[in-house]
Amino acid sequence: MQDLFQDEFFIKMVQNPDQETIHYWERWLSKHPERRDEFELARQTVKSMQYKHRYQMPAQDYDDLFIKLRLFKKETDHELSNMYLDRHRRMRHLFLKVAAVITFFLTFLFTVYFLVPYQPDEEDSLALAMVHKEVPPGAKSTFRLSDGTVVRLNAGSKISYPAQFASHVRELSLEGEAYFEVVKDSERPFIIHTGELQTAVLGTSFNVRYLAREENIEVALVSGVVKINDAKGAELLLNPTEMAVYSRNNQILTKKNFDARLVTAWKDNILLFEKATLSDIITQLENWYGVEIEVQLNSPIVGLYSGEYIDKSLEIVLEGIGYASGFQFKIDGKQVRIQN
Amino acid sequence: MKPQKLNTDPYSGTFTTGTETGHAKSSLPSEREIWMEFKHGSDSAFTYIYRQYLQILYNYGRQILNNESLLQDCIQDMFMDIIRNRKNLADVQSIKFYLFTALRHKIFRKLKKEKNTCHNQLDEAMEAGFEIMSSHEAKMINNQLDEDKQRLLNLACDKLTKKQREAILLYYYEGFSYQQIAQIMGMNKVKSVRVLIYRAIDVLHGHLILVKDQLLLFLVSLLAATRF
Repeated sequence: MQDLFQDEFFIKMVQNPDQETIHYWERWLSKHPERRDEFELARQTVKSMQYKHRYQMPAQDYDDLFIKLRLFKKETDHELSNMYLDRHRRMRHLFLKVAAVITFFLTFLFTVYFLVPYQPDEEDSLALAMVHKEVPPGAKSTFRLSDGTVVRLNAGSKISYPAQFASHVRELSLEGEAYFEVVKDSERPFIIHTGELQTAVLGTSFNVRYLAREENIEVALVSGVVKINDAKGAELLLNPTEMAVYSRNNQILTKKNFDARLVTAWKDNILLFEKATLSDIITQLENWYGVEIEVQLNSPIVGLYSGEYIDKSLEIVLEGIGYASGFQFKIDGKQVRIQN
Repeated sequence: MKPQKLNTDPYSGTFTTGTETGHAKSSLPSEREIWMEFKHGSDSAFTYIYRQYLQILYNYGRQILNNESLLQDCIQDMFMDIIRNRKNLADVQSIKFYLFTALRHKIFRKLKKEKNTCHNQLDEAMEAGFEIMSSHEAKMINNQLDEDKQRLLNLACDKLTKKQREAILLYYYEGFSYQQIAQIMGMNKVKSVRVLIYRAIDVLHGHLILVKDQLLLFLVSLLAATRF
């Protein structure tokens, strides 16, 4: 059996078979029928050898590094084509120095006015820095990116993007929920990485939702056109009022219609519940107000709750829901207790 | 999960091959072209390379290096090196092979630098890693036997040195040739890789002989049982 284990051609048949290897080993087996058992055992053994620990780079780091490297590549593209120019610049540098020295020695009085100090180009320094923004539960944040795109980041969300976008593409990665109003730029697609999903747009408004605790990644389009790719290469074009849903467990990308009011209410500070269960309500409130809610129920609350609150305090919201669902509450700083 | 077409019954079966294509795609002819495109500055070629190999590389590097952030630095530096110098890179047949070699080189250079500042970390990083586990996704005809076999194999794997384990995984799992392994692991002679793997197989084989006897015993008893 050792001869099989050491045979590169045998390993190739097990790990990476093609017509030639299969053909060869079928013939080998018909010539050595007595070694079939041994052959099988060797094959299964090779096949079963695996890393005991398989490591994966965390999704956020994976996306960040990708964007960083793409940016770096763009910078070097620039540099490689400017190699000639650089040499030219350096020559000028030398020339200026020599000229400065000569003028210094030649003219005492006018030196200061003649000497033109060389200043190194600041644009050469790589703008590789990534900006990481994180909004804790209980807060929201709206800001502009370097291209003018407006991002509204929901509570408990993280986003990272290069301080300066590359000249051919605008890329960023998101974990959480955000609403984008992308400035139109047909030269530079705007790409958002969310785990296995990537969303590419030219100029449009849409909502992206990628929460660690949720099974689905959702992209809901309000206006314009976006293109969505998953890690396996599946592609989806969205039209307004359509929403892409990616199931992380099944790795399936599908499309459906959505209620724009429901999906994007949060960006207008509207806290919206539509047939929500108590646990839905609690997760949403915890994130919205940045509190911790403890539930102690004597009898279960089974009904579904619908309601809308615009810019209201937690106390008012809880009073409204509590009245409808029949519970009392107590707010103690960041701690909330619900009971009935 | 792909259906496993492996014939797991050595008693009655004919030989069929699995259809998995999960790894060892290194010999696809288009890899060479993708590399050429990358050298000419193609963005999509770079994206392909990153998507295809980053996690495989990360896993490999993490076996050598027991330090996540240091490894990420190494991977970033390695990619920056090849992006910066892409015009002058050699043509390659297998991108995976090229990247494995480059990353291993990078890691050891970085470790050498770190060594001057702290010793303990290096020692720790050198010990763990490349641990092997024998396991099948498909159910075997008899689980008990299968577990026995794998338990013995795993015991045998623990007896190997880290270098042997690395060579075995590069050979069996990643699908590299002896020659490629010699280059990846920085060994001058292909022959020394052969010897390294031969010794490792010797250890494993000693355990498998034992299993083979058990397999026969099991088949005989199975036969007897069905006749009865």
